[in-house]
Amino acid sequence: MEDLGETLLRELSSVSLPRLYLPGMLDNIAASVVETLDADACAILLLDDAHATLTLKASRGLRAEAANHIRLPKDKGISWRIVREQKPVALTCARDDPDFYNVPHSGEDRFSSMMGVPIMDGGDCIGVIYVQTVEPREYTQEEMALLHEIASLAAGSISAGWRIECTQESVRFLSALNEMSRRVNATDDLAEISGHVIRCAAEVTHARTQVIWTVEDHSPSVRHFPEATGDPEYLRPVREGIVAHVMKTRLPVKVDDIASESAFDGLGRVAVKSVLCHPIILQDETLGVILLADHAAKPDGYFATFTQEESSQLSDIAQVAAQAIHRSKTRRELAHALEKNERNTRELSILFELSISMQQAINLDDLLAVILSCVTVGEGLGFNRAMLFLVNENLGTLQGVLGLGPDTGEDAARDWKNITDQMTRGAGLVQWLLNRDPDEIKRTRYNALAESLSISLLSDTAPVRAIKTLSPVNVKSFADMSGEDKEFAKALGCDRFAVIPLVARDNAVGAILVDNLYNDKPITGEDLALLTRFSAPTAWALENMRLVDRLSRTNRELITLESRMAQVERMSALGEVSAELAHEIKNPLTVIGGFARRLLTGAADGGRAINYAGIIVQEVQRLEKLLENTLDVSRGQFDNRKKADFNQIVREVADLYWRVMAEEGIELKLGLAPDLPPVNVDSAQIKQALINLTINAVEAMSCKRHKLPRRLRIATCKSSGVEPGVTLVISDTGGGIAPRDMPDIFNPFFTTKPSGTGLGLSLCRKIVRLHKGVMEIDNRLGVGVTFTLTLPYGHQDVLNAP
Amino acid sequence: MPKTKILVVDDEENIRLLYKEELTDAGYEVDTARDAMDADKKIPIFRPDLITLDIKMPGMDGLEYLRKFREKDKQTPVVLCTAYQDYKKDFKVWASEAYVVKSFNLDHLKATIKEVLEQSAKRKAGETQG
Repeated sequence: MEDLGETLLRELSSVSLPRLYLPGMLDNIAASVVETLDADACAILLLDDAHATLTLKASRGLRAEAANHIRLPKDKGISWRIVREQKPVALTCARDDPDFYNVPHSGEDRFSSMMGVPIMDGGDCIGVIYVQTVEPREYTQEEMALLHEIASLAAGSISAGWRIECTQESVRFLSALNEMSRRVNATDDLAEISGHVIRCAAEVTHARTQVIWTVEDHSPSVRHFPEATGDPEYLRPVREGIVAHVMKTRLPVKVDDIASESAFDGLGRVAVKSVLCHPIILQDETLGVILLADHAAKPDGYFATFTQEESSQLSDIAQVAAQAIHRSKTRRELAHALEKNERNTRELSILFELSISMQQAINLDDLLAVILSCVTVGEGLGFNRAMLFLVNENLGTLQGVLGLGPDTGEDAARDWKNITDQMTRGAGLVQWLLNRDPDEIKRTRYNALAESLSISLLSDTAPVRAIKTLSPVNVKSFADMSGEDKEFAKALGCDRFAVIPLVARDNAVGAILVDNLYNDKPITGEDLALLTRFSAPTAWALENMRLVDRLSRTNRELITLESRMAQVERMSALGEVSAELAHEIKNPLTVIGGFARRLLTGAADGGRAINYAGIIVQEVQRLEKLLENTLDVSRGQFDNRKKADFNQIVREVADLYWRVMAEEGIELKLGLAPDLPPVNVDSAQIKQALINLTINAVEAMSCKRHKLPRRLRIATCKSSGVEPGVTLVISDTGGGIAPRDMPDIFNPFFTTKPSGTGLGLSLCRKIVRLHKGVMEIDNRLGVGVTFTLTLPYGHQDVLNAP
Repeated sequence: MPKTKILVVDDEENIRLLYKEELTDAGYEVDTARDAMDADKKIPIFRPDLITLDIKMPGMDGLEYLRKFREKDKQTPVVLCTAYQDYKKDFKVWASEAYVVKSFNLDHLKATIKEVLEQSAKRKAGETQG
C-alpha cells in the first residue's frame, strides 16, 4: 500500500508542479487514481468562486465530452454533501443515498458504488474527487485515506491551476468583451451591433443558442445567432414567457431546467432546457434583452446549466451592448431629424416658389395649371397624377376642372426626363411652371377624364368625404373603399389614391386628388401632410381668383345693366307719357264727343251750334298736335342731328365694352374705313343702336354652350348701294338665332334672354328707320349673326343745323 | 223748388263748358272753377250741393284738394271725375263719394250725380230725424 502511495505521490509531484495546466493535471490525477485504486471511473469536480456550481473538470471512465459540461447546481448530488460536510463519503450503493442525483446522459447510471473526498486547500474546500465502480464494492479505510492523501497533496497545485484557469478565463472574457466593445462602437447599424454582441456571448459562454432582442421604437426585432432567418418557432414560447418577464421586471433570470420551473408554466412545448436572460438597460430605459439558451437538440447531448460567473459575464456584455445600442438609436434619431429638416427646407422652398408663380398667374386656368404642376413635378411634391375639383354649390356637385398626368408609363418617364433636363439647365421651378402651356395639359386623356367627373355632394366617395370632414382621405386598398368608391376608382383607373380638401375660411372650395399610378409609390401620412400644408395657400389663391372672377362678372353686369336702365328709363318715361297721353287724349275726346252729341241731339241752337263746332275743331287740332309731339317723345330726345364721325361713334362703343370682351375671351376686330365722310345723324341714337347690337353679340358669345372661337367683327365702309352713305357691319360667332325666334326678333318686348327687356332690336330698327336707313340681318345657325346697317349721309336732311 | 247746385272743377275750359251745358240741361244750377284756388273762392259764395272734381289740375291736384276740403266740410258730396283710371286704387279717393272716368257720353256721370245726391239727401234727412 505504501508503495503504491509513494509511487503515486512521486508521479504526482513530477506531473503537477512544472506546468500548472489544469486539464492535463487533473487528467493525470484521475488516470492515476483509477489505476491505483482499481476503479472504473474517477471524477474531479471543482467549485466556482461563488460556491454555487460544481463543475466536472476531468474524468476517467466517463464520457470525454462530459468535462466542463456537467455542472451540478448547488446542493444537487452527493458531491455537494461532501463539500458541505467536508467529510469523505463511501457508498456501496450510491443510488440508495437520499442525495443521489443522476446527471442525465452522463453515463453514471451504470455505476453502483462510489467513494469521494473533498479537496481541501488550506481550510477551504475547492472541490471533490471521487471514484466509482460498476460492481458494488466496499471501500476500505485505507483506500479512503489514500484518496484523501492524494487530494491533499494535489490540492495546492489544483488550486493554483484552477486559479490560473479562472484568471485565464477572466482574461479571455475581458478581451472578448473588449473586442466586442471596439466592434460595436465602430458601427451605428443596429443589426451589426447585435451581431457582435451575440458572437461575443457565444464565444464567452458555451451556450448553443444565443439570441438578442432589441426594442426598437416599440416594435421588437429579433436577432439570432447562429444567423437564422425569421423567428424560429421553438423560441416563441421562451420569447413570450421569459423575455416578457425580464422586460417587465428588468431583472435577470436564470433557469436551470425549464421543465421544472413553475414560474414559466404554460410555455408549452419548449425545446430548450436552461436559459439565461439579462435585460439591456441604460439609464432606466430598457433597450432590450439578451438571452442565452442551451438547446437539447441532440438526443443524448449534454445540456449545461449557466453558472453565476456566466451570468455576471452576460451582465457585463449587456452593459456594453446597452451603450452601443443607445448610441446607435440616438444617431439614427439625429439622422432622421436632419433628414426631416432637409425635407422641411425643401418644402418651404417649393412653397415659396409656388407662391411666386401663383401670384404671377393671371387667370384661373393658369393658376390651376400651376398648382397641379407643382403637385406632380418631381422637384415639387412628386405625385404621378393630380386632379383638381372645385365645389359647385349651385349644382351640388364637386366638379373636376383639371387633370394633370401623363396617359401612359412611357409618357410619364419621358415627361419627367424633360422636366429634369429643363431644370438642370438652370430654369428653376417657377420658370418651368410659368412656361408650361396650359393647352398641352388639356390634351391628355387624364384631363378629359377630370373634366368629365361631376361628383354629387351627397355621395359617399373619398373626395366628398374629404370635403365634408375637411381632412385628407387616404385610400390605400379595397378595404378602405366604400361601395361608391369602388365605382369611382374604376373610373379613375387606379385603386390607391388620396384626396385632400382645399379649405379657405373654414369652407371647402375644392379638392385635390393624387395618385402614384406609374411608380406605385405608397402615399404616406407625411406626403399628405405636405400636400395639406401646400393646399392652404392654394385654396386662398383659388378663392381670390373666384372673387376676382365674380367681381369682374358683376362689373360687366353693371355696365350692361346701366345701358339697359337707360333704355328702361326711356321706356318708363314713355309709360308716364302714356298715362299723360291718355289724359291728354281723353279730355279733347270727351269735349269733341260731348259737343258732337249735343249737336246731334239738337241741344244747341244756331249760335251755340257754331260755337260747339268751333270748339270741336279746336280740340281736334289739339289732338293732332298731341300726336305729333308724342312721336317726338317716343323718339327719345328731340331729334338732334349733326354731322358726325361715324367711326368715332363705333370707337366709343368699342371702348365701353373692350374690357368685358377681354374677360370673356372675345376677340374684337375693328375694320374702320379711313376715308369715311361725315354722316348726318343723331349720335346718341346711333350709339344706342350700336350698344344694343354689341350687347346682344357679347351675350350670345358668352354662352358656354358653343365651343366656337369668340370673335366680334365691326366694320365700316362707304355704302356700295344706290344712295350714298355709310354701311356698318357687325358680325358675331354666337351660334346664330334659332329659326323659330326669327319672326319675333324685332318685336318690342320679345326676348330670348332671361333678363332682357326685348327692346334692343326694335329700338335699333326704329332708329335706323328714323335716319332713313336700312337694317339687314344675316343669320347663320351654328355660326353667328351679321347685322348690316346702311345710313344715307343725310346732308340735305338737316333739321337742327349746327 | 230751388235747383240743386253743382260746382264743376276742371282745368279744361271746354270741359267746364260741356259739363255746364249738360248739367244745366239736366236741371241743375252749375258753376265752374278752374283749379283748387278758384274752387276755394267760389264754394263759400256758391255753396254747391255737389262738386265734380278733376284730379289732374295745375297747382294742387284734385286728391290733395279733396283732402283739404274734407277737413272743413264733411257733408258736401264730391264726385271725382277724371281721365285717369289708375286713381281708383288710390285710397285717397275714398274721401269722395264716387269716381267717374271721363267719357264723351256724360250719361254715366249724370246718373252718378243723381244717385249721390239722393243718398246725401237721405243721410241729411236721417240726421235731422235722429
